[in-house]
Formats: sequence, C-alpha cells, structure tokens
Amino acid sequence: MQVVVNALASAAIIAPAAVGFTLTFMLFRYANFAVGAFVMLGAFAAWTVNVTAGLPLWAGGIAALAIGAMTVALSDRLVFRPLQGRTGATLLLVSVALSFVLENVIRFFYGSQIKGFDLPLTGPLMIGDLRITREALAVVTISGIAILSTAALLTLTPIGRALRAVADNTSLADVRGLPVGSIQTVGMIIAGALFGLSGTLVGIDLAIDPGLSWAVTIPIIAAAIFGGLGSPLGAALGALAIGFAEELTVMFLAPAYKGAVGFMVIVVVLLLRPQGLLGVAVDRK
Amino acid sequence: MSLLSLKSVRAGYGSADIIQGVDLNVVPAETVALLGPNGAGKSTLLKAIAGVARVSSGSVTFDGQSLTALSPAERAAAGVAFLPQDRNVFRTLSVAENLAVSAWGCADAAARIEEVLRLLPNLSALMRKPAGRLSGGQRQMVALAMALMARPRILLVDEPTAGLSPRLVGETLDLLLGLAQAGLGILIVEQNARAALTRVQRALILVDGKVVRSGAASDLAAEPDFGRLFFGEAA
Amino acid sequence: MESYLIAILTIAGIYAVLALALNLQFGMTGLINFGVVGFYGLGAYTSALVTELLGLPFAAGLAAAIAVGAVAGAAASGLSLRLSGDFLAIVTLGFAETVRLVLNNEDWLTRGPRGFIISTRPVPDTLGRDGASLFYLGLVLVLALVAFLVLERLRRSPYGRTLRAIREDDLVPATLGKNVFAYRLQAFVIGSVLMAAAGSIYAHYVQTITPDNFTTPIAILIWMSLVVGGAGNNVGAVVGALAVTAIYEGSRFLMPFIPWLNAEQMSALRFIIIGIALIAVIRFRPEGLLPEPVNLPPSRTAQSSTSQQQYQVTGGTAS
Repeated sequence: MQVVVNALASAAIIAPAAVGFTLTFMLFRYANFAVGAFVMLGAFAAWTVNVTAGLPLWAGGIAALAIGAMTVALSDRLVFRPLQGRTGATLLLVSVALSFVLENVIRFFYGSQIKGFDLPLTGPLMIGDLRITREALAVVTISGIAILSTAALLTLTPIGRALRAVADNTSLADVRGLPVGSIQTVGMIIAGALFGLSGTLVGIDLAIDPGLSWAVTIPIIAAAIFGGLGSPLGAALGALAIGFAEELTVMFLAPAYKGAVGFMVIVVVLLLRPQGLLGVAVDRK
Repeated sequence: MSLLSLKSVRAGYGSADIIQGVDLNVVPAETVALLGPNGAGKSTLLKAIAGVARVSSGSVTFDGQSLTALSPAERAAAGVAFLPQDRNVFRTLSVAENLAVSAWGCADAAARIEEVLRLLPNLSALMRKPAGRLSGGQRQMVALAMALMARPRILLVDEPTAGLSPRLVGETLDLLLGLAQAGLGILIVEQNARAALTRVQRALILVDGKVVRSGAASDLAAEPDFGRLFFGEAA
Repeated sequence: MESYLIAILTIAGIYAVLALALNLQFGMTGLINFGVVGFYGLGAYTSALVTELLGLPFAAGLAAAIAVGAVAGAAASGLSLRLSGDFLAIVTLGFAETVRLVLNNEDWLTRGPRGFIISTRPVPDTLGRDGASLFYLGLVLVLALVAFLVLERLRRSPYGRTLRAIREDDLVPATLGKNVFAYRLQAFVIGSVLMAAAGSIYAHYVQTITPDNFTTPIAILIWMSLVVGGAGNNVGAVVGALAVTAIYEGSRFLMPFIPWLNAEQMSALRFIIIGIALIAVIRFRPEGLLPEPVNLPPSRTAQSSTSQQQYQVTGGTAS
C-alpha cells in the first residue's frame, strides 16, 4: 500500500508536464526536449517567490505557472515558430540547445547550490500503517485538479475544441477559418503553465537545482510515450506507470537509479507496444 | 458583376508554376466546372484561390477585393469556402464539434448549425459520431456542412465524388450544385466530366496549366470528339 | 603556453573524431544521437577497467571499448530505428543518462565521482613529459586522420550515397530493394564504435576520468561542431570541432576581463553563448560553414536507373 501512495505522489509530479509535452507534440508534431528545462524554470520561479520574497508557496506556484507559460510562449515565437517546416530532427536539436541555454541561465543567476522551498513542518497523516505526508496529499490533489481541468478545457470549451481541431489537421483548420497561429499559442501557454506547475510540485518533493532539468526530462517524455503521444489523458496514465515503475525500482535497486526508470520504461514500451498505451502508431511508414 | 475574378494567374508550389496564366470569372449563383486530365492543375487552381497554393503572378479578386495578400483563414472569413478533396473533416472530433469549430468566431454558431442541418437533414442523426468513423458519402456531407458554416458566397469544391459509388455521384452533385439557387457561386473540379457537364452552367477545360477551352456546358458536351480531345479515351 | 596548445589540440582531435562519428550518424544518415557522451564515456571506462583491473595493455582496452561501443550502439539503434527519429533521440538520451548514473553509483567498479585513475599509457617510457604529450597528440591525430579517411571514402562510395538517400526519404531506397533498417543500424554502430574509441583514447590521455567528463556540455559541443562545420561534410565536422574547441577554450582568456563574474557564472555564460549560437546557426545558416558537397546526386530525382545499378553492386560488398 505504501508503494501505491508513493507511486501516486511521484506520478502526480510529472503528470502535468507529460500532459503539456503531449499537447505540444499534438499541435506541432515535434518532441520538445526542453520540457525539463521549463519545469526547472518553474521550480526556480516558485522558489524565488517563496524563499527570496518570503511569500507562501501557493503564490510561488502561481508565479511558476506564469513564468512557465511566458517562457514557453516566448520560446515558441522566437525559436520554434521561425523553424516551422524544418525537419523534426532540427526542432529536436534546437529544443536540446534551448534546454541547455535555460539551464545555464539559471546557473548564472542562482548558482548550482541545492535549494528547497520554505515549507512549514507538518507531521504525516497515519492511516493504519500507511504514512501519507501532507505535502504528498497536496501534490496529488493539485495535480489531479490540474489534469482534470485541462481535460475539461480540451473537451468542453470552444478553445479546447479548436486546439483539438488544429492538432488533428492544421491545414484544414486554416482553410475553415480558424486563427491557427493564435490557437497554437494558446496551446503553448497551457502547456507552459502545466510545466510550471510540475516545477512547483517537483520542488515540494525534491531538491531544486539547475541539473533538475535533465533528471525530469526523461521520465516526462517516457510518460508521454507510454501514453501514446496522442492523448493528454494517456500521458497522465503514462505518468502513473512511470511512478509505479520508479517506486518498484527503489525497492530493488539503489534510489539513485530512479532516474533511469523512465529510460527502461521507454525500452520496454518500444519492445512490446510501440504505439504506446492508448495512442495510434507513430510509425515511420 | 463578377464574384470571383482571376486574371493571368500563375500558381504552384515551391518554385514551380503548375498554373500558367489562367483567366476565370464566376458570378453569383453560377455553377462552373473545371475539367481536364489528371495533372492539368485543376486542384492547384482551387488551392491557389483558397490561399493554400502559392500565386506567383496575376490577380485574384473576390467581390472587387484582392485576395492575394490574405491568409487562407482570412479568405474564408471574406466568404471563400474551399472544400478539399480528402482530409476534409477533423477525424478525431465529433460531427457536432466539426460544425461548431467551423463557425469559429461567429456569435450565432447554434443558429448556423440549425441552418446547415435544414439543408443537410441527414446529418442530424450523425452529430455525436466521430467524423473519422463515417462512410465516404457521409464524410463528404459533413465537409460540405463545415464549409457552409461560414456562410460563404463562393464554394470551391475539389472532386467531391472521388471514391463514391456511381449512385451517390449524381446525388452528391445535385445536392451541391443545388446550393447555387440561393445565390452561391460554385467552382467545382470534377473527374466525372459527363456527370458534371449535365449539371453545371459553364465549364473550363484545363490542360497543362492552361485553359484550352471554355464555354457553356451544353456546347462542350455536344462536341463530338470532346472525350478524345481532352481526356484520352477515359471520358 | 606550448604545452597548453598541445593539450588543446589533443582535445580538439578527440572532439573531431566524435564530430566525424556523429556526422556519419546524423549528417549522412539522419539519425539523431543525443547519447554521444554515453558511448564516449562507456568507451573510456571500459578501456580503463580492462587495462587497470585486468592489467592488459592499451590495445586490449581500445579493442574492448570498440566491442562495447558496437554492442551498445546496436542495442540502442536496434530498439528504436524502426520508429520515427524522435524515439532514437529519447533512447540515446536515456542511454547516456543511465550510463552516467551507473558510473556515478557503482563505486566498487568505477570509483564513482572521485574518479578512476589510469596508469596505462600507449606512450614509450623513454619519452619525457613534453615528448609524451607530443607523442599522444600524434596518436590522436592518427586516429582522427584514419577516421576521416575511412568516413570520407565511405561518403564518396555508393554506400554513402545510399545512406544519404535513406536520410532524404527512407521510402525511396526501400523501393529499390535496400534494407533501410540494416543500413541505418550499420551507420549507427560504426559511429558508436568511433565514439567509444575516442573515449578510450581520451581516458588514457587524461589518466583520471570522472562521470562528469561525459555529460551534456560535451554532447552540446560535439553537436555544435557538426552543425557549425556543416552536417554531411566530413571536412566541416573537423573544422567545426577545431573552431568550437578554439572558441570554447579561447573564451577562458576572457575571464580576467570580466572579474565581477565568478567561475561558475563564467562557465554558465560560455554555455549560454554556445547554446544560443547553436540555435542561431541552425536558424540562419543551417548548412553550416562548409555545406554538404553536391558532387554526388543528393536528391531523389537524381537516383536514376544508373545509380540503381550501383546500389545493387554495393549491396553485396558493403553489408
């Protein structure tokens, strides 16, 4: 049971970012490997507001959402949009370079020392033998709300409908009179906010440092791949799978190898079910 | 007063011009067919008017306003509706969502959907179905309905009967071209030349990116060697 | 100063080998390898373990590194090559990260972050300190030259033409009866082998290796070398490696002029500039300093029936 609780908490951290990554992939058909850097940026935004400015963490979380949304929208405008029409490989390479730049921008201003949020100390809740920290409870709740809101936005609102239409068939959306560019920007803002949220959540659980970006990139992309890259809900389920795989690994291997779990999951998915859990095949031919 | 007017239009993709100087006029409530062999550039011409293919020279005016600087979405808003041959519905969206999303930015989307359903009543039963699950004929109807959501004044239709059974070909063309009675101009690319010529008012025959013949549909259909001249033996 | 120059040239030579290997994978075949440092590090540690723990000579270490590089390359590419390029990218990235974790955490074998000390050197004992560094530079240059000549020959051969055809559009060669998968796998494995060999040479050069020697910044420098030099062009890969090393090492000398920055900020700033430059080159000069030579038919239109015959001839000799 404890494993379930821990896995749920791990999954809740990366799930919003995995949903955001999937959204980006659906809209533009390229894998944005800078996702980890955006999450890291969100963590630092939350930390700055929470520790440097001394405000409560929820205010930091809001700052993280804003910074995440802004950075992603800006990078979309300045870096990715001008490269539209280039190969997926080019965009992938650019996203890695961007990730590297962002990581070092943070290193430049904040240094490499490990940081943590200023959180009041609270004892865990005990339900029988089950140990649930209040932080984990908050992380799971917030993450759950965020994912359900995103799902509701995508399925129930006009902008969500338009986002799905653009993801489905960009040129038809253009011909049918949808303002494709603006809709894509809205999608990027949503994805960016989700990255920022993951950043805040990751900071509650783990230490914050610039190296965080690479540590979370692989689990996030693994969750998205597991979910099939075509469905935000699939990405959330993928995050659950990664969370469980991570917790089970910790039971048998050194905790340090948690970071390799995402990679292992990708390998297993590629071996058994290349189209992912829910999605359609992303085959070459 | 012509609704759509093309003058010496050259158009294509990349650096190659497929359309090599075409003049064309469509007036309100007129039905015009674009005929010609495969590879003549019929679809490219429609796409050039819709803004999907590149116009390298010449002018495209709609209702006196030049279209050449406008994006496809802006042309759609101006009243030009392009109905592509394939991939013309959002497959992962339901029919209702397909219609709603095609009325982006319109305050009266619900009224427009009702209006379109009156024209195409068969769609009412399909509203909740994902568009990707529809049959070819149904999908074509949804695509048409989507194009009509913008209340266009000219309809550019690219091979609406491709892949349909012979029985549906006539029905589809009748339905489509019947829309002109409400004042809509229609420019249609059609492989079934005979079926088209019996239903449209005027036709242009395009070969290698140039108009080689144009005139009243009845005159063209009456030409004894019509099929051999422009379509090999196929027509 | 002179010994510093020799040291920089040695490193530049090793980077040139890495860039050449990446050029075969990405430049010529279009395969994305974000795990350059994984293969490089694996080669370094394999060679170190074989020479230090088993007491074998350098040549055995190099051979072991090559073998391990081949196996790892075949595994990583075999898993993901049938799928879109994104999968190879994530698998190689994950591979490099996993290698880094293993190197850091398996102290009993790798000594972890404290570093692994290597005493074996492929250098005659009679040489003095300066002589030894010169000798080593020569060794690196020989490896770089061999790698260059082999890859350049390969690029000009019909085999290289097939790789490029695969890069442009994998459906075309497939219809010509070529096993696209096998070609890609071969190209990736040859590249990984070269990277592992470069790792081995590097390890016995610096004589103390830590997992930090094989992390993202190095991968970015190698990608930068290739993109700046010109993907698809072997001369470009070498020139790019020299230019990037010169800029990167040269920027050290700027430090005294911006004394208000601490060492950490300085290093971050250099990486920021390199990253932005990489993005800018991709955007504004995607062909790099030296564009890919066009003396060979680069596009599918040029693959006429004559080249089809050549394809068939190479199919037998190359595989």
